[in-house]
Amino acid sequence: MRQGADLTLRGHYDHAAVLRQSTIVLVVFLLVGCGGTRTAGPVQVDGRLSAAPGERRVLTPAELDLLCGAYADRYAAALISACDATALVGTPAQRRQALRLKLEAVSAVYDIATTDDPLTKLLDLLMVVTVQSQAWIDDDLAGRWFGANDRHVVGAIRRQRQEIWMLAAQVLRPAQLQEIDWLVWEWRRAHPQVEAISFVRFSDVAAGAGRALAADIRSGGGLLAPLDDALKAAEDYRRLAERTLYLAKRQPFLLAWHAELMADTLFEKHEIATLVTVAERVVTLAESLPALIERERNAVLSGFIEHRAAVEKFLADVRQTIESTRTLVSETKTLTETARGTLSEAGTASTAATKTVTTVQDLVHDLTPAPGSTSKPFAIADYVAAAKELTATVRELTQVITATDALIKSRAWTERLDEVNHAAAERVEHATGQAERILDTSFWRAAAIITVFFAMLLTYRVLSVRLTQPPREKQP
Amino acid sequence: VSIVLPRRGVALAALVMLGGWVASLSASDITIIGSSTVGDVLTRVAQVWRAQGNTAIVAITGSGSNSALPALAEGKATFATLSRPLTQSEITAFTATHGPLITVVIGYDALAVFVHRDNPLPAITLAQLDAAFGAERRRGLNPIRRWGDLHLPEPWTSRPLLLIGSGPHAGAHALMRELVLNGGTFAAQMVQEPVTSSIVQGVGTDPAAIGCASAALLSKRTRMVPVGESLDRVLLPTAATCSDGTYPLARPLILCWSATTAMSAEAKAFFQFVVSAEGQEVIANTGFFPLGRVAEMENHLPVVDGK
Repeated sequence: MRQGADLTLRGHYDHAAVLRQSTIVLVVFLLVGCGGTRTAGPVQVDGRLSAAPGERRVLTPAELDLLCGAYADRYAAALISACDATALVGTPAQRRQALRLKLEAVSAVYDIATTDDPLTKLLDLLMVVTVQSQAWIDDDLAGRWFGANDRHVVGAIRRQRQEIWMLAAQVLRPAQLQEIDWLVWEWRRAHPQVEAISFVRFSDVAAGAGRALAADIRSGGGLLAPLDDALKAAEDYRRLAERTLYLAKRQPFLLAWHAELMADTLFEKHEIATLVTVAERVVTLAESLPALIERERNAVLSGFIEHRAAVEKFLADVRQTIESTRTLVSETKTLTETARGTLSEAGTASTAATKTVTTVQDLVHDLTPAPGSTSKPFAIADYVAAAKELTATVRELTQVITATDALIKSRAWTERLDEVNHAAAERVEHATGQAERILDTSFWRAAAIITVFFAMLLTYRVLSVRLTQPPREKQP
Repeated sequence: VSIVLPRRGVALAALVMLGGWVASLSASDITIIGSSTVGDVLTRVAQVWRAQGNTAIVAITGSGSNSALPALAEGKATFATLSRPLTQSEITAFTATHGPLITVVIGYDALAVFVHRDNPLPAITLAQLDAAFGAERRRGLNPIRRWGDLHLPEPWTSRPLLLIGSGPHAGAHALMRELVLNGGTFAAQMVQEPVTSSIVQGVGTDPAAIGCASAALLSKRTRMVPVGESLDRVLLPTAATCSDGTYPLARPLILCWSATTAMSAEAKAFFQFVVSAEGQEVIANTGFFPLGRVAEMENHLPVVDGK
């Protein structure tokens, strides 16, 4: 019935068919018209700015994808070289910061490089690399962290920023580049305190203008060719596999850096740092111990040497004193006693000398070789000279003793002794007299002083009593 | 082949499409065409204005100052924007056919000369800048290729200048040509950066570099150098020196419209917001110099040219 009615309708209303076709044409016209108003003019709606079209070759998404991946690798190579060069000459803190920068920046870029949409990839790379350059160069994070060693990092970040904008210039028109530049600059100006810039993405920049700009580029407003939907699905699968392989190849490096940074960060903890400090102090002390011992030993030795010199000087003094004492003793001994002692010693020596000669003669006799002996016979000639010298010595000694004995028994010697004794007695008597005189004088002077003292004491007493007594009243 | 469609459905679809088309035609309540620099500024201002509950859609096209008055004359734009003073011929051409033209300065853009923070250059003249950056050196000085040519002492004397500038699409490029090079072209050895902020960063990485860019882009590794016609009258760009016209590398940001065309309520409201204290703060935050006396501008009497 329904089909019949439609047939009837077609049969009876030819004008209606024309009307339907006209309606379709009108709808198509309207659709084309709406689309035309959307893309005809270089107009910014709700903050979206586009520019007049240029004469540039259009990149396909696949080409852009490849370019972004290659850029990510170049970026990683440049940052790794720069951070390693900085760490090589830097302090431990600078080394740690260089490692952190390398890890965060390269991880972020690889993370972006493995997103699925090439345009988002490009815009995110633009965002991260530009904000990173603003933070590390314009806001001088590099100078703050690395001081004079910042040139490697500054140079690498600067070159990478230039490269990503050159890449973007293949996809975006100059006006779009300028707008993105302003958007990123404004974002940094509004968020100057953000240092974890590796996590910033283009979608953070401006919800309105940024999204509208991306949509404009995606729809052909830029130099990126739009993809047919069917092709896009196949292309998505292919790129997913590529991204997985891309990240898998680079993951070991990132993991190694993570481990290195974790170890470095661990050493940064307070407890570990204290432990390390203590260990360093122990090591330092141990290293300095031999030198310390050497120093102490030298000090002890030098002290001993100094002390030894003083002791030796003291001993020398003592020896000199003893010598002086001995001289004094020898001087004070009476000449008689000296002479007697000498005589006695001389007698003893004479006896000893006689004994010696006897002993020598006995020895000569004993040393005569036995008959039949094969050894060299004793030669008496060897000992004749010594025996002669010994005999002469004994003779001289006997003469000395005889002469000394005669001196002691002589009259002149006795008189000289008497003179010495007399002179000594006179001097002792004189000294005794002088001492007694001094004693007498001192005694009498002391007695006079005591007497005067008591007299003055008595006078004082009398005067004080009279002066303190109140005056007597006169009787009427 | 016959196509069977329910008539009511087709009519409904047609109505919906027609409604959409009409809606798209009336989507842009305010259309602004002209300088890309002013377009950047007004984009930020429009975002803040709409965030306050204003539903009018502001469509901004940055096609260059030269396209501003033609677009206004053709009735395509509510406002025309320029980042340079209007020429007498432009005013004459417009007023001859469309009546008086109203122009309002809404802020200033200023080019600053940047050097590395370790560079001791005390000041520079426009002629010296021309001798360094210009190919033709229209101000008449000999070429300046080394820092010794700018009278810097050792060890700078023999070091060559690294000139950094913007590409031809940037506003700074045109402003520099106009104000410094007297319309001349840039020296071939100048490194052209794709975006303006990259100029200042490039200067910050090389002590021998020099570049010109918006004063707002000053970084911790760079320093602005006072500029003047002669070395005894050099100035730094500030809101005061820009608005009183003494700073030589400043340019006004101009909004203009036809006095004979009735302005919508939305357009009036948007203009009032641009010159209000809040709007001027947005302009300042964008990196440009706002007007000096904002309170007076809130009751602003526009300048009418061509009467």
